[in-house]
Amino acid sequence: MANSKLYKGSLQTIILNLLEQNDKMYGYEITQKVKQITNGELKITEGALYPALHKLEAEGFLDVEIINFGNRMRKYYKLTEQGETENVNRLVELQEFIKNMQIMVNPKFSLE
Amino acid sequence: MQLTKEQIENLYKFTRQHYVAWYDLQSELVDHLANDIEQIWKTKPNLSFEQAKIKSFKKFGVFGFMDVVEKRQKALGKKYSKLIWKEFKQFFTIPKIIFTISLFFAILFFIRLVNYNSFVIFTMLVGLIGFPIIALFITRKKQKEKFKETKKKYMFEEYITNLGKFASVFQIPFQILIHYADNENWTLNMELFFSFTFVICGLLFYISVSILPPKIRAIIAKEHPEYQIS
Repeated sequence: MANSKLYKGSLQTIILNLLEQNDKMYGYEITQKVKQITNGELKITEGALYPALHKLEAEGFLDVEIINFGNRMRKYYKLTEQGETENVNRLVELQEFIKNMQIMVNPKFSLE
Repeated sequence: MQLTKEQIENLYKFTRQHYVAWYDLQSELVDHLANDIEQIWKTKPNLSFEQAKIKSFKKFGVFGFMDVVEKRQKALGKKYSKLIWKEFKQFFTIPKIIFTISLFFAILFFIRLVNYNSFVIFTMLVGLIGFPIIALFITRKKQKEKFKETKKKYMFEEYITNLGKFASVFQIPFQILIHYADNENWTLNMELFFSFTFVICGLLFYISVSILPPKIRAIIAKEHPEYQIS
């Protein structure tokens, strides 16, 4: 992640969620999709993307499919059943985190 | 504009020059670089292939592909360990646990039967270590021959012979050999520990040398249709 350390811990969740929405994707496509969705605000670096993908694959959350694309091979990643469950759990965790951070940075004081 | 076959070959060579020796990882990185070069040419069509390639490679950071290689090895090491433990646990569930317990008592009774004869104990331990080492040696030789023929190496296939973290299990029989082979006064605890360790090591060696290799090859073949199972 080039532009913010804050996103670093959420990279795997971002990948899982993108794959949930897009059935199957390859590495470069993920970087471009994230850039497109966030209007270029968030750029996933190559050095962070592939280790994250390989870790998720090794943990059994992703399945891979390799197809011939013209004169080269293309490796597609898709969610396994275990990956779908993991995505739901991580999204819940992330939402909780965002909620708590909002409370922390923007506390509402009351006189009661 | 799509990259030509020669340019793709150049990218494969480029990944090899940057210490990516495995075809599976090379293919993924080549596709990434190719996509990026094509994207770069959309905005900067005057850049040469070499210039666009270097521009794209720089995005991997100062360590180039090294970080990707190291993290992939780490991830596959974990995957290998998971596979070993999955198979290992099977030997402690019904019906295989009957075999495991029988093996334990067979070893226990056998060492009593031979009256802890140091030559027999020594032979047992050498056999325990020797058979898997010979099997691994033969497999490694076959892997090298296959590489000479296909020029393609797969990272996960290397775990068949390097065993990941489980290679350290080979030290255990050596330690027993040092402490037990010459000992003539065996206590009950020593007998139990010897039999238990012998069974555990034997199972781990059997799993890593006999059960896992075909499974790992099947995993690679499923992902890479051009992979040859030999």
